[in-house]
Amino acid sequence: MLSRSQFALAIGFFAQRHPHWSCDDGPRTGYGFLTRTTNHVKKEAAVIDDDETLLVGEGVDEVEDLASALPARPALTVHEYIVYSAAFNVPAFYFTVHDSNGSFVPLVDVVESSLFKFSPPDGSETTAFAITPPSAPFPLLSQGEHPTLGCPCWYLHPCETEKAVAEFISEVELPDWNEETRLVRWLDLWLMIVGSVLNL
Amino acid sequence: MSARHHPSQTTASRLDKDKGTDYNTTLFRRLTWEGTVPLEIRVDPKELPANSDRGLECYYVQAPRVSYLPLIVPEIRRFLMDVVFDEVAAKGLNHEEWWFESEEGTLLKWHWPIGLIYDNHTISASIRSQPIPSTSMATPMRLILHLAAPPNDKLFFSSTVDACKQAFMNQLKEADFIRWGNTRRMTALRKADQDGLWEGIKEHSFDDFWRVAAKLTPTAGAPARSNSPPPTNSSLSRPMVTDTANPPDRDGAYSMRNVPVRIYLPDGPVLQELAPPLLEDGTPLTLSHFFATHIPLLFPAKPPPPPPSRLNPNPQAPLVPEIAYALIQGVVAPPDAELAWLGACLAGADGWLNICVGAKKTVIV
Repeated sequence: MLSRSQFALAIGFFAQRHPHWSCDDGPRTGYGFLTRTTNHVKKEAAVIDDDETLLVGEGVDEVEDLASALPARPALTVHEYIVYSAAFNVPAFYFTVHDSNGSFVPLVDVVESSLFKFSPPDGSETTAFAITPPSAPFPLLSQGEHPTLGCPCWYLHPCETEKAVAEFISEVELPDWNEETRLVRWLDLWLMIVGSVLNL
Repeated sequence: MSARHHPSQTTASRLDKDKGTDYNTTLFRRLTWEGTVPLEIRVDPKELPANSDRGLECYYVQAPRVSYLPLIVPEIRRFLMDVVFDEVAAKGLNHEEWWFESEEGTLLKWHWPIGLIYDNHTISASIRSQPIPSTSMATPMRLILHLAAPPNDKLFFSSTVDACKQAFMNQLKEADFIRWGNTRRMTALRKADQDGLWEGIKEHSFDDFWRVAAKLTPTAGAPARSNSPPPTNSSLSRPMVTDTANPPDRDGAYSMRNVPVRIYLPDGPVLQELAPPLLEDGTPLTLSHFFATHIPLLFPAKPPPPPPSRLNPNPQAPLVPEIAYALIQGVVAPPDAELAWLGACLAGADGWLNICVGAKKTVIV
């Protein structure tokens, strides 16, 4: 669990160590966030090649299928944000996805893009604005307002985050860590957990 | 069997949760529920379809504070289709492309309760021009309705009632989590009950809504303070204390971890900070303390009175300028109001206490 001021410290330290993320300090302490822009593509449909191996479109250069007759896969621009979730006192991962025309990409295409590692779990309820796995209290992915910018984003729900990070951090924590190290490691682990769902 | 029955709830003076909560809480909840705001909705004249009846394109509605814009779109649409639009010209219209803007060009959000949109607008308007009138009927808020090309980058992608319901349910769950550290109360509700909450909003039925919401929202019983001084005499902030010998209400407003509260500044980000019902010294958290902690420039803390001296044996604390005020459900809230009580009695239907902060035009010293 992080307080707002701890989060503010953590993102400052993190941005120093990870130059592809930049730190926006926001209008006041604790309302800052990390941000970066990445490029992704719409994934091809999964295909089975002659050896009956399942190939996923992203990362496969040659696919012997009609799908390969298509020209370059549509490019997507993803703005990523690491913000503070005031309700759950942990970071939360927010993002927007735009196509090459600058249009907002609908959710069904977002989860089919190279940003996502897996398809939603079986039995998930998928609407235009949220994906909720079966028996989940909160949607896994839904629309939300960026807590500082106020613009609409997709976000991964942070409610399970704290438990997951706590498990890992107890394994790796060392007694000689100072506050800065602890905060950065916390964020690193958190981002690793997000990375189990998204290609970061 | 209600999930909220537990062994300590035996005294006759404690109302059965299934039959109702205490009188004061119910009174304020009903007042909040019945609150409405006047809206004047006008289609952007540049977008009126051909052959529209231009004299009539303005629609007035007294909208419930706890409702949402997607829920009033159907009646606006019926009016426009029946009275204003030419049938043929209006055929191509898709109401899912409709969106609202205030007169000043502020995009109006689908997932904000209408009362919040109105209060936020009242404050912005008062800063731009006239001060809020002290006693007057509320002036209608003018909305401009656009019929196409919603700015998806700034508004939620989906304006449908279903998306609104999802956002509403998420807010309820988040509020539940903030209060208790888990969402057990929400997840313990049967699906029919969960849906019933939204149906209560849609149908605007206090009874249908609160029949379920009472299981989630804490009551406003007094904090358990056996040796504390008598409560301050403020009729708005303290409900009647019927029986101080009762054990602390485990589900009561003063037993929660934190009050789900957000502060809306006129041009700023939305502030969300921890608001425990009681401070470390056991006294209830008041608005003035909360504001002095988080927005001290707008609500400077009152310094203590100087020590008594021979010349001034009964010193008063120096006055501080009143720069700002807090609007909750359209009412200016007194500084000694307690967050826990406000959260139980004046929260919106989504469980959140929304506080709009405005600046006074004339500084009162």
